[in-house]
Amino acid sequence: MTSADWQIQNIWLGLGITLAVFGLYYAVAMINNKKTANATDLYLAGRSIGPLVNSLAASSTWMSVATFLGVVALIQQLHLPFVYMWIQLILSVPLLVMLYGASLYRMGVFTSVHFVQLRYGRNTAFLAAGWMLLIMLMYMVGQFIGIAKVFEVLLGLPYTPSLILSALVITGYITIGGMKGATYNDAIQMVIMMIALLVPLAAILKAMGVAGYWVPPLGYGDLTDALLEQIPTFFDLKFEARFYLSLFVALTIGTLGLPQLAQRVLTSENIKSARVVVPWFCLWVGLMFLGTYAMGFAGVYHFAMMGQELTPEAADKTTLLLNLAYNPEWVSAFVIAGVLAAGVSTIAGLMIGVATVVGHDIVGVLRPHMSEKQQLRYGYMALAGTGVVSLLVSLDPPAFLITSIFWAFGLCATAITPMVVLGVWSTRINPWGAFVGSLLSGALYILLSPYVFADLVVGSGLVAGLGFSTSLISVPVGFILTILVSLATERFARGKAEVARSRAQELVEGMHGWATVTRQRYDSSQWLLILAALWAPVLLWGLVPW
Amino acid sequence: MKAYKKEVRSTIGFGIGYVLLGHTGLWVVMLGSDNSVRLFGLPAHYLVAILLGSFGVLVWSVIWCIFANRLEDEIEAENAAATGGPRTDANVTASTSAASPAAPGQLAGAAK
Repeated sequence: MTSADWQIQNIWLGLGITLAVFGLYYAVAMINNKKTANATDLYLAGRSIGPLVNSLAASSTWMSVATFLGVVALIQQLHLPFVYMWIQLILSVPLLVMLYGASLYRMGVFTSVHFVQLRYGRNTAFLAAGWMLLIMLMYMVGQFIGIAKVFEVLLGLPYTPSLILSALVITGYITIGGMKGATYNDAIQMVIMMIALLVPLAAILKAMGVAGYWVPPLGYGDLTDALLEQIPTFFDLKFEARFYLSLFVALTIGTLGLPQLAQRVLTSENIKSARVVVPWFCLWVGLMFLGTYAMGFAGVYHFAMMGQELTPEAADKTTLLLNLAYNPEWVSAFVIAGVLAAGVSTIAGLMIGVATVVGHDIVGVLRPHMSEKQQLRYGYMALAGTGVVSLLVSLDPPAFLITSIFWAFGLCATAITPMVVLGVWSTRINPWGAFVGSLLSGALYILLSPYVFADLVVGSGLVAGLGFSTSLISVPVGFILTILVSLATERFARGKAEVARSRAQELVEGMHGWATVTRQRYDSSQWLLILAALWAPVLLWGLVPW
Repeated sequence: MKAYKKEVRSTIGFGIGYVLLGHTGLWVVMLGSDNSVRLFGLPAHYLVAILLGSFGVLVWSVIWCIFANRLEDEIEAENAAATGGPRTDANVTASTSAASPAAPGQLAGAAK
């Protein structure tokens, strides 16, 4: 199989549609530039976004280039276990909103770092900012590279110029439009993505003779026997129970802590609207995920029929290969537009996430007396700067950075989720617990990963590279340390701890919507100790060699 | 205290529900699977996993959203009862004013 198999013949069709969609994104950005008057507009779209648009924007931010390319390839290589990994990713926004998104909205914060600052103070906030910037930059570099690869691989254009040009073009429209432009563009991109994945998929399934083609996300049962003939072990679970537990510990707990997703919720027009985003999000993401699995199935069936060996290189482009084989070329060009939409929408969320942390949570704290005009200028500089820095890193990325976004999820689960979620639901978690818990468990996660000290590793192969085996140790440590250090401080630094607890009681009760402070709500230590005890067996199981 | 207990218990309950719907893998590993058991042509354990993880989660979200937004009203009602009137700026204590939106850097109540 050569590049001729997955590149469209008429490159002008591909370039034409690319220019058309980017023209649209720039137009939307420029319209919204005029509506951006202050930092709240720039970072949080003026808290004006309705639930339907916000759900589309959150969905496209969540779904990256991987949806069209990488996932389909990995289904064909890793089979059912990968589908299980992917299924639970839908839980990110629902759990986020329920566990802390609504409370952060009520507080009026700009980001999760802003929340950490109010809840725990400056030092912990800078630590949180450090972790979040690392996670978001890793993610962003991966997407920039993905987009450049789309131009290189699908349109046959040279890689480095594609990377530079696409990074500058994307940075341009995101900077111009701010969060308002990004939100409306992301919503448009989600519609493009859905049409680009699901409609051609129906046509492909119909051409394959699949009876249920008109329900593309579910109607491909006809392909099962062919699939099993080609790969008899496709539907086997393959891994031990611990692997499936680690999906919860590393991925579910991690993705609910992602700062760029939290920020999406904070752009809502009101708190009830923020909650309504959740079911809409589940609808869009659910449909798209189902479509991706179907595309994976169709890919295996197609290659079996052709009698072709599926190289890893080709597996990545299955979606394009199928479209080129079964659909007219203009459809494939539209699918390319869908792939690009997936990538730029994710980049938009990340870029604004990074810029808000830098511009609002770091510079804003170090220079608190800036005028609104200065804040806005710094904000635009932060946005543009983020794009440029990511581009520079993407030109020659350390292998570590591109290896695995799943690894970054595990880091989030370890260093971010405990302090944020516990900070919302308990007044007994204090700055010392949060700081020590996040710092030590995060450091442990990094140290035990295969990318740092090759000999000091837990597990091996896939489970280590993706951070699963490490998470089974570091996430429990994160929760346990945060809880125990907080409670221990109450005993050993009584005065300071009491002041912190009193402050926390006012903040926490307020963020849940209570008008009066009883100092009894969210104040029990019992459930914290039970939670710590529940994490202990997970930690012990994680220590058993894989 | 009624709405508070409802809030805590429902959060735990809905949380467990979400996790169970999105994580059928553990059950399948423990109970075993059989590719010949089919639903709409697809192996049952596969179809159940992807359906629960999409439509199941969607339905659960709809239920949660309705419940949580109604609970918001119950909390408001308890606030009104506790403060002896509709919730206004005058009735709101330092708890909410400490958490009100602030300009960057000028973070209300932020510890140094």
